[in-house]
Amino acid sequence: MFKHNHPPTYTPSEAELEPPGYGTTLPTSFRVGTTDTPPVVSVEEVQVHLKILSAFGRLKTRVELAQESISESRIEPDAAWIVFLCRAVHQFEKWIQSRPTSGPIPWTLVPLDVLMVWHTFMLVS
Amino acid sequence: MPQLQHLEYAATITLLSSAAPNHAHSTFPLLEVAGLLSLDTLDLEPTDIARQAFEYATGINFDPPLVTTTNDLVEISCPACEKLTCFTGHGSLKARVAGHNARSTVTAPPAISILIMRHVGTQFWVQSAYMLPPLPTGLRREVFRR
Repeated sequence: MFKHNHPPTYTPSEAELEPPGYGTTLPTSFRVGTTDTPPVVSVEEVQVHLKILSAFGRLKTRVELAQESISESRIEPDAAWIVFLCRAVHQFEKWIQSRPTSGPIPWTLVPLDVLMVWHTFMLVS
Repeated sequence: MPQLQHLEYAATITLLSSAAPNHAHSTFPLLEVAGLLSLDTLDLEPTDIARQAFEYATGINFDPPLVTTTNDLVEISCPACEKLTCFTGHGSLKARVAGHNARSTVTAPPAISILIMRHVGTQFWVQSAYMLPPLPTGLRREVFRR
């Protein structure tokens, strides 16, 4: 008679739950093709960029979960996120049009959805 | 684009060229934004002054509404064939939708136009199209109503 062999129980230790450590300094150059290229970003910049991307991801989750809090006239979470994005683009347009017409944008805090569109705009333009 | 094969939905978002002047290309304030994000919630915690400055300049509530219901949306039909699921374009955007030969445009400023598209086979089909009235000043974030 066939007998299931279940794997032994496993409880990861606290140390195993932590991500592995990594260096915070980069080499002076990277070999790219036939040339040596200095790093274009620092580890710190990568860290803060990941933090911001995580914030955008968390925002998407919040929008999708918010749909579950209503019982009537709800739309699908995916569709709700699209509506949120379209609204965010509109917010970005209104904000950018309120800025001075020349020169760099003076830094003032703007909402996360506006920052998300601005960030995307920088990537595609 | 192979990565799109796994997406059920896509959105067409048109950034008006007139709304994106050259100075929008200024450096994104990466460090400043990251420094203001809460470590616990990954959300921004603006001061009252920052919040009021944005709302005064734009007339928009700082906190975007998270919930959208069908009551917030105005479903619109294709101006060419009157089908709700065949919306071929709006404003300056013109797109040919598979299975339909008509090209059509409709403008609805200042409403926000939204196309929700569903991935079918190898193409994206327009599932529905909506207009979303712009946010009125002073709107509460919990509920967005027309």
